[in-house]
Amino acid sequence: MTGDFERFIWLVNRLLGCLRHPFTRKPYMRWQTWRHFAWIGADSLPIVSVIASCTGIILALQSAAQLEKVGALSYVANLVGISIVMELGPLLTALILAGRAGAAFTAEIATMKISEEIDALEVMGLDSVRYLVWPKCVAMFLMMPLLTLWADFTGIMAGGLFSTFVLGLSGPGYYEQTASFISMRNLFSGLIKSFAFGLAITLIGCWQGFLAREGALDVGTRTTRSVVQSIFLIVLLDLFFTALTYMVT
Amino acid sequence: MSDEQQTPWTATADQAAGSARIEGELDFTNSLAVRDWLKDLCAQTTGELKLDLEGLRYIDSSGLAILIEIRKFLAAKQRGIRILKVSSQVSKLFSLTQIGELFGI
Amino acid sequence: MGEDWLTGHGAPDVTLEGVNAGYNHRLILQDINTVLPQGRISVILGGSGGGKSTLLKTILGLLPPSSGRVLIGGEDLYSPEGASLRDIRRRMGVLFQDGALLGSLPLGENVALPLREHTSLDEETIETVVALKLRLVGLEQFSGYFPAELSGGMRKRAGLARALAMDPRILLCDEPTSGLDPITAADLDQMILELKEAFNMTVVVVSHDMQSVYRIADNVVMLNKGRTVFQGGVQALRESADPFLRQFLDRQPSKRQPVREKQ
Repeated sequence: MTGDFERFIWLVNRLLGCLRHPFTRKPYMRWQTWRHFAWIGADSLPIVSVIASCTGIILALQSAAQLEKVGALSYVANLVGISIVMELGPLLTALILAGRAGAAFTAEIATMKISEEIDALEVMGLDSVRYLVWPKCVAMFLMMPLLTLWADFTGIMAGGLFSTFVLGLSGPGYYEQTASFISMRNLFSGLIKSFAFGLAITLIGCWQGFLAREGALDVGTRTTRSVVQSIFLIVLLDLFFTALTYMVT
Repeated sequence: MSDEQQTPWTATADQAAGSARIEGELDFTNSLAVRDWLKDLCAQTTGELKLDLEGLRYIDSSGLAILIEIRKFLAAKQRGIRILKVSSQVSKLFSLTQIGELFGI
Repeated sequence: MGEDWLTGHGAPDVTLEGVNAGYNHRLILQDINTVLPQGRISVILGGSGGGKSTLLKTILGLLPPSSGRVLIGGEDLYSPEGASLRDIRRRMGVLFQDGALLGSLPLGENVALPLREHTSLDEETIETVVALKLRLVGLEQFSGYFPAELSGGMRKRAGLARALAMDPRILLCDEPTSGLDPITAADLDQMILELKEAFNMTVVVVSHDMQSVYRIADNVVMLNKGRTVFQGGVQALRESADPFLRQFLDRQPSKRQPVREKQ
């Protein structure tokens, strides 16, 4: 167990070393970074869109049922908007990426570890963290907020469409209300969360990968553990940041 | 590595005879420089290029690679390359990689 | 010697001085003292779990010893002063057990990787060097194949081509003949012999394949339970009277305690 923790410190330490030369001209790493952009970003887009839209509709439906009782049906827009931008957009995107990208990171690194590819990189004088983890960090840092913004957008759109066609609210009114109610501050507090979630997913995913030992079975075990730990950490971080937001205001 | 020092090498050319001698050591720190020198020489000569590598104590793969490149470069102009003499280390490498016959050894 | 192999074309020796090493406080190697001579093929021999791989990892700079020193050409591999691990590694070529090629890159790119990252050679020269190396191991037509599309023997040869990419001064091979048929294994042995000769390299081979040892070894270090039980030439190994050695060389089963019937 102490060995596992030492490995985590080692990983963070090596990553901090990468910060000194964040950009590279080396072709292999560039290619790695682009591959991860596609992998994390474009490939996750459909599932993020579907889940965000469904959540938007669910929120509209649930809040409408309650707000109707107090005759405040028009507040559906505020509730859906705030919940998605500050909470569910970043959270759901992170959970999806923990299952998709985080699991893939662990599986990739664990497989490479077991087949001695990591050792091979190191003995060729190539820093395995710089080569394998840093491109994932860069891609995650860029893609996580973009995907979160996209989730916010599709969630609000879906909630709006549902409210217009099913609840009978005015479409333009809904969007005007959303736009005027959600501040940049709300948007940023969601995006800051998403950065932290992205970092957590990458760190845990790669760390678990590096911990893999002999045997193909270990790849499966490590992948499962990576997803579970990421989800746990994401929720804890969410609690922390949400508490912070309300304490500061 | 670009910041690394070049391994020492010397070369003498006889433009009229279309021949050159390369001495010293040829490795990845200086192979690009040697290639440029040889290409310049090719521009100043005609016909077959003759190389004397007897004084070449060491050659690595990038050295072999630039010789192959020069051969391709000359072949595109319907010219040839021949290596006249080689040291024992260079000869071992030529025979192991089976590229000796490309240079008439 | 000394600095010569780091910048020039000499071959270094490998010296182990009182090396103790292991994982998580469990000692696997105990008090290893040996010199693997320069320009020669040394074979580290021993049964499974005898500490061969651990010793190799220690020499590769992947596992710091808990005490003792590992010197390569006189440079302390794990010392913070002196030539850095990075410089020493640039002069090292390693053939891993299953080749350890990067699965995401085709063969040619695998061989080109160290050249692209460590030298300023241009694209054309790198391609020619890669073609040369692949030709050396008889895989010149397979440059565009991915490692998963090749057989185990081909992956090993490709791993050898990558190990040779930077013209190393020291070549380390982890069980190069394991899992190969006798002909492919003999070919690989022959290749290692010729390469040593042509490139003037120090070669360290970890193995338990006795036929291969007799073919290639100049020097043998035998490990048993983490300790050296023999070091010397092949002839001395053949003639040794040590009971463990005889059992290993003659392929005798280990003696079991007789099972007593319950009374």
